[in-house]
Amino acid sequence: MAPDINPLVLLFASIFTSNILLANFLGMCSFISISKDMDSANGLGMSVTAVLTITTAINWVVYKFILIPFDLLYLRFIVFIIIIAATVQVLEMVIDRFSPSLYMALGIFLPLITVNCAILGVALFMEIRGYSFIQSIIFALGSGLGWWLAIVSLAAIQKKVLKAPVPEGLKGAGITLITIGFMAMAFIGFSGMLIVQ
Amino acid sequence: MNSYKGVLKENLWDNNPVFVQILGICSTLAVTNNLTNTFIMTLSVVFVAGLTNFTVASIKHLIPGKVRMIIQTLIISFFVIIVDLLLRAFLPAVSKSLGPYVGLIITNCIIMGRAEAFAQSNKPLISLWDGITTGIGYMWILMAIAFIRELLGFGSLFGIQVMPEGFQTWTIMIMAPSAFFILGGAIWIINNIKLSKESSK
Amino acid sequence: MEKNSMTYTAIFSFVITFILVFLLTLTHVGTKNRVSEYNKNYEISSILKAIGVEPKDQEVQEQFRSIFNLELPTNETMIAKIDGEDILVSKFSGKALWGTVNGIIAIEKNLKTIKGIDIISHNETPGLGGRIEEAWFLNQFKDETINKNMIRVVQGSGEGNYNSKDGIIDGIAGATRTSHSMEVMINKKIKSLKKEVGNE
Repeated sequence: MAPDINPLVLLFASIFTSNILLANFLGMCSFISISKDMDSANGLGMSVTAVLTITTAINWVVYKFILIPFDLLYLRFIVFIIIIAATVQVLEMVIDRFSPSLYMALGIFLPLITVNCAILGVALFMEIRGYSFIQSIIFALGSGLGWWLAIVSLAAIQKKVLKAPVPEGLKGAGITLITIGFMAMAFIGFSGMLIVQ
Repeated sequence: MNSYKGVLKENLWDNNPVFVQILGICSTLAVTNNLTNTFIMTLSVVFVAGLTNFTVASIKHLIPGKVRMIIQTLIISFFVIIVDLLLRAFLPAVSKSLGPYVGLIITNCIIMGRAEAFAQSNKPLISLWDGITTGIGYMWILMAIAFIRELLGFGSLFGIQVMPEGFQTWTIMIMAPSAFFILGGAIWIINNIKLSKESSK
Repeated sequence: MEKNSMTYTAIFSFVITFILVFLLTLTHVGTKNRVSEYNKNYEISSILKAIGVEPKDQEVQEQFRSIFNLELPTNETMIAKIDGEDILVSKFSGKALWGTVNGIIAIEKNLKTIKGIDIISHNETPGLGGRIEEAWFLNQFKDETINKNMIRVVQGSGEGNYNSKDGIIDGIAGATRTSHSMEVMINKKIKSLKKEVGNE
């Protein structure tokens, strides 16, 4: 029983009001350590969006046509994570084969993505909320874009913050977290735009 | 190589996974608006981290190099699923409110991090201890955050109403941003404590 | 056999996966009954709460049987006999923001008053739409008057409207969509019950 959400609302909500990182706290680890420079932020954001969309699609199919009919739901964690690991591995090989320059830019990020909680998280949310195939794709795409948006915004803000007089004890992780907190608050403001919640 | 006491001190304070390494916060910040859920979640991490470390340390000489990370992930997933199944059977109400976040322990960077950094090069028993203490280091700081969030956001502790009748709850505490602020603030305080210890030496 | 050879890697991976999956299956099968028993009792407790009967831990199935004269809840409208009165009890469901909300509604046979409702499951945001399962929200429905076959959920103070004569329910502050979808699905249920009863 897929929920009756307008696809555009779902997309908007996944990017802004229910941002996978700022509202659901997923995908933080790489976020905090990598968000120092714009290029890495963009590269990572792009890779995450691509991996998210592809793996969620595959996970949906496996969930619908293998896990449910064979009553194997309790294995879903293992199955999902294996699919994610395999997809990233294959993606790595494909990119390396077809665009060595892209591989040079993104190569280091790909293994990190496997353990990015956002990817598994999106698959699990999709399962819990019972999305249809199209909804899952929209949700995954939106979540990826939202994550990308968040990480790029944070990188931009961090640049300014680094120049400001931050108290010793707050430097580094402390100020980064507070910055993220303000971003999260700002994103909540989006929920007035659409009557989403 | 490593003493039990040394490992304990490292994981609880000096190299705390949360406020020093800034790892593994994803899944749990989401549920820290509630002490009971935080407790169960972090207890699960203690369990999974300890047993994963123990297992990895025990069979590390058998694991082929190519599939090291995937096998570790498999082992972590195994223990997480066990936790999930046991919660559903024996603490179903908690299992419902934790939702997908129990499953997300799998991607909790701390557990994978410890398996790589410690279990791969240490004996099983001390690895078990390292996993458990890392989990406890994780647990105490998150419980502290949850304490503040539940007290101010709901006026209760562990579900029991504590604040007086007229208390106006701080709704922001229930929502996402507060967790970031409190953790940021906690890091600030802790860093200041460390800095003053350094300068008084 | 060389540890890093393809053959060893394949065999090792297979064996370890097999062992882990086997242990998981054992655990799963071992706990299956407990889980389904719990789900059954959970639903029955919801039904009891909706009609205003306090569920007693170990006895919910007994309580259910004596009030409804049925072994287990069905998906049709059930009739409870309380204090000599007939109460219609039915499951309702509808689309809310993040997924389907499943609940129980208990209405007096004349369809003029809601006895109460309870929520069985939902996927709404905890702390926002998820508050539909909180007592303050649900209690507003107790003995609520139905005006012209509907109730209204409005953006009030968010504290709860306990005036049961006005047919108005306070929505959840910050959860407009979820609150509105509750109004839609409950009114839809009232309408369908009216058709059901009208045909008797």
